[in-house]
Amino acid sequence: MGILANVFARFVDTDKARVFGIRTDMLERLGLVLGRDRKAQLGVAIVGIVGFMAAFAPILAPHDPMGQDFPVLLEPQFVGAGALGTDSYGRDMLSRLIYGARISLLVGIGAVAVGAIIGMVIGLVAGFFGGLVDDVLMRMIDIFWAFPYLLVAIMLVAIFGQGLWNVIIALGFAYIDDFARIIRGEVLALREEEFTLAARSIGLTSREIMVGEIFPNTIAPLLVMYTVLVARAMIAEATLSFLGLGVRPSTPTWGSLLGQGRGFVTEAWWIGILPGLMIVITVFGINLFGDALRDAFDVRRSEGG
Amino acid sequence: MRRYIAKRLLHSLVVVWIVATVVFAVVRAIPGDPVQLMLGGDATQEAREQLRTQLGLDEPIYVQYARWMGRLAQGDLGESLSTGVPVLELLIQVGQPTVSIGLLGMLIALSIAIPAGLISALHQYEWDDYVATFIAFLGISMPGFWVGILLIVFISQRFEFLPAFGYVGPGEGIRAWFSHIILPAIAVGVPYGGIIMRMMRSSMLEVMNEDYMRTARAKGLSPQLIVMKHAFQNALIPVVTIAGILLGTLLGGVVAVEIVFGIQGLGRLLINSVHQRDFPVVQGSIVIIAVIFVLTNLLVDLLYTVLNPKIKYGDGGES
Amino acid sequence: MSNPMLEIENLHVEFETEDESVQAVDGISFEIHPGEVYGIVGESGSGKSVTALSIMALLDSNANVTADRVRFDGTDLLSKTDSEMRSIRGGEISMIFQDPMNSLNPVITVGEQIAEVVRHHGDVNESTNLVQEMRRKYVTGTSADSASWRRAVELLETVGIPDPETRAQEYPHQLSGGMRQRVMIAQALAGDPSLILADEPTTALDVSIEAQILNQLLDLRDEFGVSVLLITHDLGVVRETCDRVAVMYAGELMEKAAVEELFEDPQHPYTRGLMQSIPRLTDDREMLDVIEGSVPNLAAKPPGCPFQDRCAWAFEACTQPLEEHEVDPGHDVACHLHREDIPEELGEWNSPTAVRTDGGDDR
Repeated sequence: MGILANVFARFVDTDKARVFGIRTDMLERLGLVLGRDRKAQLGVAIVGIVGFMAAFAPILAPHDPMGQDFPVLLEPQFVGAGALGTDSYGRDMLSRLIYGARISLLVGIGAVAVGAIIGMVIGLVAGFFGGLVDDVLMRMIDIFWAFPYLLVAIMLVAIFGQGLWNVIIALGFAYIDDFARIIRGEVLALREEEFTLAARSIGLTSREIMVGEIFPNTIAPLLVMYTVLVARAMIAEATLSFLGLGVRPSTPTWGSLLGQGRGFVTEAWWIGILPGLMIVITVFGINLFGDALRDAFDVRRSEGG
Repeated sequence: MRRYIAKRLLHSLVVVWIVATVVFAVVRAIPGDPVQLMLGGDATQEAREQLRTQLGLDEPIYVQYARWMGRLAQGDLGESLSTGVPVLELLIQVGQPTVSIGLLGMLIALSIAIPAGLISALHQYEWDDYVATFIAFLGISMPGFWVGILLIVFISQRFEFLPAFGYVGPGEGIRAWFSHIILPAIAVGVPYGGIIMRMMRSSMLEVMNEDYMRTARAKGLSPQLIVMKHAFQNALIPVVTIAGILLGTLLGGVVAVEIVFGIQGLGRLLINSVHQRDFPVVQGSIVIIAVIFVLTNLLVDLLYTVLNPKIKYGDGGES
Repeated sequence: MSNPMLEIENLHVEFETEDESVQAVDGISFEIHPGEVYGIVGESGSGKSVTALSIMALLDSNANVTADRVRFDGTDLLSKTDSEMRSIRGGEISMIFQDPMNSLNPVITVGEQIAEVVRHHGDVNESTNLVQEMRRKYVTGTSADSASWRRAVELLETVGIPDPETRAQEYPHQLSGGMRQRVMIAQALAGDPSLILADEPTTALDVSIEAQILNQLLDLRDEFGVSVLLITHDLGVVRETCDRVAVMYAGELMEKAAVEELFEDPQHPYTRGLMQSIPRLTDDREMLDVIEGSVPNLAAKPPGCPFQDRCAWAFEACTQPLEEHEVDPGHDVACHLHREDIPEELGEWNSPTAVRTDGGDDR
């Protein structure tokens, strides 16, 4: 119990008016933005709907997304069976689109989590210790830069084989440098601030300062970064799936629907348009939400969605 | 200045060397035997051994690495395992469409996004800002390859002079070349342009709040002059950085877009050679891309010195 | 007395934000005569800078400026159109800002930053249309033979910059803080102004440079006969530089007087408080006196005197609207203590050693 209470006290510290390291006034501002900004509301609504689709796909989907129940390339009927047509194997498009939300969100959120965890550790260590450690780590990060991330993901998938987790890890590598850089920058700025000096002067160790003081302060830019990158990762996932290098081809994903239908787009427009539309609307919603977060937290640095 | 460039080139060389080493290791970790793939399942043990020796695959890894590095140092990327064609030749062949599409896409994106971002910032919260911002967000949210599909479905099918398929080199007529790359270039440029436009807008908004903009107004200059002379260059400085960083993303976009348009470019080559375990081609492509990337970033940094007089690379000190 | 160069009467500036409106300047009046250095002194946030910016019509669109009169050299500034204001800004009225690093454009040479003012407001025959200016900026650079450039170099020399030809070619970051502020002054002189608004011109500078810059301003006043509105929070600067001075507090002018008179015989409790908070060489005080309390919230000012909450001498009348009392010719005080009918126990407030012992909080 004692440990839990300690952890709780660290993150929900009413004296400092923080909840999980976000100052409550930031949460209030977020509330203000969400209450006033149409853009933000639209973003939240879209993300909410797509999340709902992903969570309740088995209930929402009218047909088995894997079942080849219909004539191949059935035109959309817009009512009843095959409402949005079928893919090139005669599988119900609507059901596959609904199931596609799962992979898209999962890969998007998961891949960025991989990048965030590794990147944050590197950034925290580099920024906090500075000097040679910083130099070596950041030069390493620089090299990440020179790798074209999509091509690297292609290679990694080729090595580890297709599959959900492999795609998540392969894409995640691409986001390490973004997180490392932003966290390091924040740490460098925060390191000089008074509360860090104060923490040092009362005898806290480096690790305690890093976890207890600096980390909570980096949460705001991190959240903004995270949202922006999830949008990017979803596009990257779609691209990989489109190239046939994503999650197994039979799994319904928006990108693979496009990839498999590529040869038919001129005859069967819905194959070319609908899955793409799903990607765009979802990513659009996430980007809007990210922008609202940025406005609320006043984070400028991480522009470049 | 010269010393700075030399230093940067040296640094670039190290980066490329590390990239090459990592790629060498990674490529060899790909499961699957190239010889098996080339000869098929029924080839005799003898034939396989012979081919293996011929390709130098029987030697220990470190010997292969040393040989590859040695040839790389002389600018030789080796030959394709499957066709025996020099990798450099292959790359030049496929690089042409890839580079054409990438550069044109970037040009289109920049020439629309920068003015749009500028206008958007100047008209903050007016209707044209909303429209431009909406379009930019849409652009950021679209995978380039899907823009390509849209262009094929909606544009290429209506206008015959804009083909949906293939590539023609500039040697066979500039017009034919241009008509083959314009749609892919737009597809590549849309997501890139969206980001640049947002960046330009926020950078411009920031600059408009600077003290020196108040000074410019206090001098009684016209609003147009204030924007174009006092704000524009300052606003462009961070945008140039982002434009450089995003080149990698742009290239990733080109790979998928080429496939939509059925163009034999770098993307196709890379994916095929990964499938065939054609080690030298995979290694060569990644190394070349890294070289291009590192050099463009050097170029961007040099452009930076032109835009930003505060930055003078080199021996430090004034002017 | 000659006609005033600048006449301000009952100036109000109100900033509208989404949920409140802030009275940054609340009904101030003053006038500046030709060749005079007029000071406005006050704490930060008292509305000094806003006053200057409102004269130049440089405030953002969320600022609402009203006045009974803003006359410059006999003409009404409030009725000017945007383009008429542009020909006055930088020309007849110019401005010097506080922070010379951020107030100069980092990507334009200092010479060009001065020369462009000459081209716009001086009588050199050089085109200032957009195309020509763009060509100069991005293609050819400003010709070192052009009249505007030569004038810019001359001005740099006037403000005491050594080796002006070379310096003109440099960018702001290559100059020291003091030199940058000289460039700002040269830039302000370039349009041949009759009034310079100097907003904290020396605040960002070292004390040794401060004196040089202030002397420079005074020399220029003597040489060119310009009037100067000097905005500062520093009473020392006022004493060294100004002819007359107004003390500003929470958007209102509390006391206006000639400089010597203000320092010898301050008539407003706030002015006295300010004077007592200055350290003096001959000090035998253990601690500097400070004025207790803080500036009122400008979005919700109490009625009457804005200083009443912090004033040791406050009484019932202080919640009534302030009016100016002329205690001597040219010495106006906005304070109810100068009314005829103040309560008897406050009668000796004006004696130099008076300390209020009853009522208000003791100090």
